[in-house]
Amino acid sequence: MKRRAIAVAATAGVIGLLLLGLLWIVARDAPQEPAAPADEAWTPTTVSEPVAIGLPDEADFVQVGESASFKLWADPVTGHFKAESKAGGRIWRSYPDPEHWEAETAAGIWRSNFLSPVMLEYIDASSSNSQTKMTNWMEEKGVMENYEKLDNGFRVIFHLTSTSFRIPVEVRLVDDYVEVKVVDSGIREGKLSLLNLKVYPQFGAQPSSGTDGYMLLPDGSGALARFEENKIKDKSIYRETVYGPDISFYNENTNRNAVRMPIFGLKSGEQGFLGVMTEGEEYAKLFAAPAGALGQSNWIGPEWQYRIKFFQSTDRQGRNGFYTFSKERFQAASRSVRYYLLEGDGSDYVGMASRYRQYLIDERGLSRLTPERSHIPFYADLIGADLKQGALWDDYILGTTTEQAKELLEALGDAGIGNITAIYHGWQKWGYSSYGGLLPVDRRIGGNQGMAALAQEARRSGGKLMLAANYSLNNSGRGGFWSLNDGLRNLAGTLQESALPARGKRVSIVSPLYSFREARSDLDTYRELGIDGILYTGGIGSALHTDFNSRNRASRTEVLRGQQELLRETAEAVGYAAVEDGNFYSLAAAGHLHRIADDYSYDIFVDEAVPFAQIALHGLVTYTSEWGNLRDEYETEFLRSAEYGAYPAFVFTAASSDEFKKAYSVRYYSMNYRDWLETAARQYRKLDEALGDVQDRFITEHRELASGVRQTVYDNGMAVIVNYNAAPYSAAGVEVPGRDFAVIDRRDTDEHGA
Amino acid sequence: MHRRLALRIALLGIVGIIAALSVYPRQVRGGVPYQTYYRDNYNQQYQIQTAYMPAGVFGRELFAEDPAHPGELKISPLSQPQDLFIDSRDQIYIVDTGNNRIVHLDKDGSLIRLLEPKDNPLRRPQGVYVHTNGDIYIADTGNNRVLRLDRDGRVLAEFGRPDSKLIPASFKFDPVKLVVDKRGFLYIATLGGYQGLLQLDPEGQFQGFFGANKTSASFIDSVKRLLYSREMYEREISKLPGSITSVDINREGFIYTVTKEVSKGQLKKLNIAGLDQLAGKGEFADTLSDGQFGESIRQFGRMPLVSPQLNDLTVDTDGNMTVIDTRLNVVSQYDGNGNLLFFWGGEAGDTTTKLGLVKLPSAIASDSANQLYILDSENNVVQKYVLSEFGKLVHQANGLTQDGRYEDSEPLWREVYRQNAFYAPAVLGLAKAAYKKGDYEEAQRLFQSAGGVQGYSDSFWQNRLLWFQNRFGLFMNLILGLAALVYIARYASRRLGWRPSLLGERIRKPRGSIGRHLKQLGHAFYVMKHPLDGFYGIRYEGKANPLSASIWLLLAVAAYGFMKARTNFIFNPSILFEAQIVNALIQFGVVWLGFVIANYLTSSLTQGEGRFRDVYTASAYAMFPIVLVGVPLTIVSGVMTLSEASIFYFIQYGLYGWAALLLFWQVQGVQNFSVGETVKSLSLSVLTMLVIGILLFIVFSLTSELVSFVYSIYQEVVIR
Repeated sequence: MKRRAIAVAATAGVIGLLLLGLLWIVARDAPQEPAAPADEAWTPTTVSEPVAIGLPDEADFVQVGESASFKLWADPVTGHFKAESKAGGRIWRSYPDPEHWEAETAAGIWRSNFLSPVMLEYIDASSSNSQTKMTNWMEEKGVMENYEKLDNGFRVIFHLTSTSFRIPVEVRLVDDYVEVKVVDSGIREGKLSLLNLKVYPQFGAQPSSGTDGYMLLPDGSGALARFEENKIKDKSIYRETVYGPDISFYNENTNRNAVRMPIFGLKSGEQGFLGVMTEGEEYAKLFAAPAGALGQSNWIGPEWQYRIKFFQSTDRQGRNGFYTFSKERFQAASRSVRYYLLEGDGSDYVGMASRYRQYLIDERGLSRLTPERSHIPFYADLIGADLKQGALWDDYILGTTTEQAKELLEALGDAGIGNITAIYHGWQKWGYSSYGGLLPVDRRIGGNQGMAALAQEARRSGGKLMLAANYSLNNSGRGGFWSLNDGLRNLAGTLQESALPARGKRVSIVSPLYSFREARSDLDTYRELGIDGILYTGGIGSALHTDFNSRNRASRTEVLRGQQELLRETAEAVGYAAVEDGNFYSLAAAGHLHRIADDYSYDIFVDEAVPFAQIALHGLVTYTSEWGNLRDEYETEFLRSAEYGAYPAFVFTAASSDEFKKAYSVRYYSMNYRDWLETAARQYRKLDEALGDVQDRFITEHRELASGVRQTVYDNGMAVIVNYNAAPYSAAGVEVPGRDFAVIDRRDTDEHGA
Repeated sequence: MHRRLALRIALLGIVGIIAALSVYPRQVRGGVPYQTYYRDNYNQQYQIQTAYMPAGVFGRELFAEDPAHPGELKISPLSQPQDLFIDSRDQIYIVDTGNNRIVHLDKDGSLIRLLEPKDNPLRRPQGVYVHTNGDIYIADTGNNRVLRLDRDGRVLAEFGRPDSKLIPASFKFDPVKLVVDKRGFLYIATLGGYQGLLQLDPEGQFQGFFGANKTSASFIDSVKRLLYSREMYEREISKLPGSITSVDINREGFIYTVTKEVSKGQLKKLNIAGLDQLAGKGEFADTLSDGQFGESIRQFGRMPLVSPQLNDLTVDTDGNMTVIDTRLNVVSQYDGNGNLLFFWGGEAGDTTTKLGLVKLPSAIASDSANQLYILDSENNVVQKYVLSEFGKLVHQANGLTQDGRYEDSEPLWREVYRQNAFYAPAVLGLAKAAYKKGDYEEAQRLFQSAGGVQGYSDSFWQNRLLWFQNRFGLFMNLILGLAALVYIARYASRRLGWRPSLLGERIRKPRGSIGRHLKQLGHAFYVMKHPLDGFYGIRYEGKANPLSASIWLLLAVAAYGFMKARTNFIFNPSILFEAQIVNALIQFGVVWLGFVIANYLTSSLTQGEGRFRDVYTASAYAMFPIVLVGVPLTIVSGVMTLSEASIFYFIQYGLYGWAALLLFWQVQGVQNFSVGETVKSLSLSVLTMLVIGILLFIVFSLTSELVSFVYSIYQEVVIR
């Protein structure tokens, strides 16, 4: 009897302890409630009267700023503004053009969205099944608080009275641009959660009717969506995350190129603007609606993101779960967009790109490059090795040893290719598909010594050797990597993985902060090897993922800053940093962008790709398009690289191409350099003729001379005319054979009298 | 019930994996919004250059007279268009099913006219054919008729359901697609018309059914046939042959059909007699005679869960056939003999319409320049594609190979091969050219790289012959020399009184523990000669111990692995796509161990005398043939060709049979059983193995389910 009592008591005790433990764990793991915002403490000094839904009355506007060529007017009633060109009297409005507003057919919330200075989306986070809702300042009969004039601008807090959001906005006129800034620290929320925000969504918006114009999208190398009537009521819009998707959050699958540049533009008739997102752009999506999709106007602008839904998994594999929003807002100091006002000839995409180039020079520290040689660089990507499935363990596929690389570079030199930059990939232990703990160089391709000797040899022959490094993935566990500690996690704590192209083998994605530490610790060895630079692939400089791993927690902004810092350190320590398909924030620190897009995403409402990125970059940094031996259309894309001023790049191995048939990652179908020697040499010679003398020159003109014939003009007067047609092109004394290009030297007009 | 549950769990798992993988956003870098692939004979998929580039979108902006305001034009988009035809002048006809009209465009996509017979309206038409003489035939599905119009749209004839005793009463005349041959005979595909194409003469008289599909009778069906009553069996609707979905005709008069609900022969090329020219398709029928058409794209090495469903096809001027798939949204192109050339597809995304991406393909057509047009019945547009540089090159080269001009095709294939070393048709094209030229070394290398078994075997046969011929003298000298040596040795031994045993005695027998172990290992050879005796010795005389058994077992596993990994690919094609043997080794080990345990358990229950260590030891010794025969056989297979396949397979089966027999004797010898008892014991062992397997499976799956169940509850509590 007594024993039984003891047993019962013991069992009860154990169960009780277990329950307590569980409670403790639950309490520990439960997300912390953020401190309630101090909303009550806020008392505005001035409050405006609510206004009726409608266009602002331009008679109420007062001049708040003036620069050399523009004037800024603000409306103290609605918070709208307009900028006026002193020379041409052209006007850029932050609200729909009154001339066309009569024709606007939109009704309901969208009508007031267009008229309102602020529109936003929000959700009621207190209820788990609430829906995303849209609202705007005018719809809610909102008021303006603390409206005040600034030096050359004004400041105002838009208070949405029913949803009780307060959005502080500053507008300034500086030289040739209007800057619209959202001050994040001043945003107040009530019970509802702000998801995203558009400020002055209709800035510069124009309907298609009557005017010739287009929107410039940062899609691929830049793409134009021309003004069209849209009679068929196509509802397609463009909405893409700036600097590419964030894997920790939900990403809509649109099958588009990632946005690499934080820019957009709109041209209507002889007037246009270039928008540049300068602060907080990593939390922006670019939003563009062609005429007829949402209202009668073509409009484009940033959509500032404050919360994005993510997948909250409820099982260990991360398969089951639901989508929800985080409690905290994304924090950036402020979010700014500059509208560079362009008129006349400078209002087309070339003008926009030129203005962006000037911005990169003035504000991002880029400068005109000095060509090291009179001949253009040639980029030879060499694949060291990769893995394939073997009988018991993975088999090593030897692509190019450092000895073979020497021969390869010699062969290229003999074929007439000078100024070669070799970029070695897959040099780490076990080759390309073995990520993490990169150094030392695998002995089977020559080891550190072989690499150092190759670097010397490359320099002796007047070239460069760079190593390609991917610090963003790890599947080898080398370097002390343990995915549970050092892997990227989303807000739900799920470890994020990628997959090797073949057979879907899983690879952990590394916490950005861990990858920076690892990369930084390798810099000394790189310097000792005597190589000339590092090409970052796979993430650094090209992908921003928020990390919720508690050991390495980093926001998108912090990751961006970390990448910039690492690139700078690399350039200092090793000599040179380059990025594969990089985002433009890596510029200045990175001197070369490898394999950037030269095409667009084939959306039907978009009409064509233009070399916006290339026009902005040429003469500042070097860049290449896709490898010359991995193209869809070898000749067409070669011609395009001449048009776009891109230097030749090829991916090579010394091993025969079919060796890599079963490789896990490098499944490029034709890499043997002997097969491409002739093509590469021919293309190099032709491109060298066209681009050799304009390596440090800016592109000043780019246009279509006839259907399928394009001309690119550089600021020293040299021009390249590319003829994509089979038939020869001749006009104004210029003869271009079919499927070819011609170089026209107008540098010294006095002597040659061109 | 349980099966359904299991299936659902499996499905959920797969969906989960796909969901997890698709989280990582795909990297797109310029270029067309779809990927092009090739699949080789071993189902390996390779991404290749784009074969067809998007070239434009037609039919987006159509205008018709506004009925409310006569004289004014009003936007009038396509509505669920179902068919597309391109005539000899490259003009485009779209069957605008939802609007009951035919849209006639010129080759640049501008509207020529809208065909709407006002006095004789169409009702949900689904097919159109334009004869070279300009007559337009419309499958007016909703009115159960076929209309024949002249080039100006005047009705010439109307064909209703033909009157004939030969047509079954149940036959419904719902024409959907049709072609007309040079003589003016109509071939009409009807909804649910499993009898085949309805063939009418120019007057509309019934001529017969053409090109019917066969029913596919499986093993289960024959069992059902045995067991079911006649009424029950006839109610099995799926036993009807698939009805033809679409039909096309080429200049030579071949009639092409596609069929949806079949797993084989989805695409057919019928001659005038109705015989399928593609049956037994493929250059290397020995490895790919599955006769399946319509490709599916693997993502991360995984096949989609559903099979293709072909909806329409087109034949270009070179005889290449292109089919579209409504379910997987993949376009596949085959050459005139049914060899795959390329296939492509891509995700459209939910909100975007893209140049080159079709959301719901309903029809395909090609023009005189071999450009493709695909009709999208969801986005209501026609997408146009032109051959890329690579596609053009492949077409040229393949055309020459098809005509048998191997040598002319060689430089072209060489260029294709230079641009893409993974593209098997190029490798095979070059291999065939090399073989034809007598360059067997090169042919052998190329056939091996492309996995062409027959070609490899043939060229290797030639090379082996050459090798022997070149060394004939050497071999003869060797043989003569050896014979002379033997003769001299014999002579000498007779003279000098040497005996071979003297040599044997000179070798000192190793003593001590090493010697004992060697002796125990050597017992394996005794077992080979006297199996029953040998196994008896293991049980009762301590002739072998678990250590020596483990060594033999390890050697057997290694030999098994060696066989799996190194047998010539012509006998063992799986090494071409599945290099790893770990799974095979684990399977071998698990089955062997399962047998040992099960056999020990059952035997000890049936008065067997073997201890566990004896069963283990003897079973390991029984695996000895794998070492003894397997290793040499594997080595020799490297110099065998397909003509010696029967020898190879005879030895291979013999080897496994021998091992099985040894296992049998093992039970007999170790347990001291009679033959009858052994049979009983073995049957019980197999049964026990199954039971153990099922139990293990249940325990593992339930435990992991339980763990994840608890975890999800915990997560739900914490998060919500």
